[in-house]
Amino acid sequence: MTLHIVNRSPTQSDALDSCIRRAQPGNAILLIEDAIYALLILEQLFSKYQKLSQLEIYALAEDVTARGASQWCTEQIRLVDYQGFVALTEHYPSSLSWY
Amino acid sequence: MADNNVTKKVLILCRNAPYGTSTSREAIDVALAGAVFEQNISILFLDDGVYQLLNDQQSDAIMQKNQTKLLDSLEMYDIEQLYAEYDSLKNRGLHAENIHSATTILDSTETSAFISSHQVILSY
Repeated sequence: MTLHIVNRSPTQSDALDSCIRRAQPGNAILLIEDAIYALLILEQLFSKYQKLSQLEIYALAEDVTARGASQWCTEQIRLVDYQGFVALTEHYPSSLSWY
Repeated sequence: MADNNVTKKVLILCRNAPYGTSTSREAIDVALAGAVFEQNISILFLDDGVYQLLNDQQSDAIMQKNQTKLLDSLEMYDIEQLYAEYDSLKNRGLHAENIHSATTILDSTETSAFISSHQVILSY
């Protein structure tokens, strides 16, 4: 069980695509920093990658708020604060950063 | 002597081409350091990282350490197998004969499982 942490914009970098392609069902993806912009194209991502519905998707609330992306937080997204971020890294046996 | 509590399965994930940045060298440095401290190290090349595995690199032309020689040196530290993802190679027009002979090629399902089988993952 792996927590994948992505911090690059999906329109500027292939980090998120690379991550999704290698994630296993049951893994989690945490969007932080510029990866928050993935929320704006979430529908496209879900239709491109069927696997996404089998992954837990989290976003760091502070980064969402800072970037004005709150309105794109659908029910597929679980928001976590910094403490929640720490809790996720404790919950998943391994963490992997994609940047 | 290795203690099971401190020996971990460590994955070094390489996603960047060599020479353009120092990232690829740092990954090898960490692999060597980990091996010295008796960690169980695997190295997986994904995306542009597979360019590190190309044969016939002659980096003295740009006055940098040869990545192939760095990868060869891993064997002395008991890191004998390198791993690469098939799709990353295929998308770049590469075949098994183009890359380092110690490489095991994994398909996408195997790659995902391989990543998940490690306790610690360091991304370069």
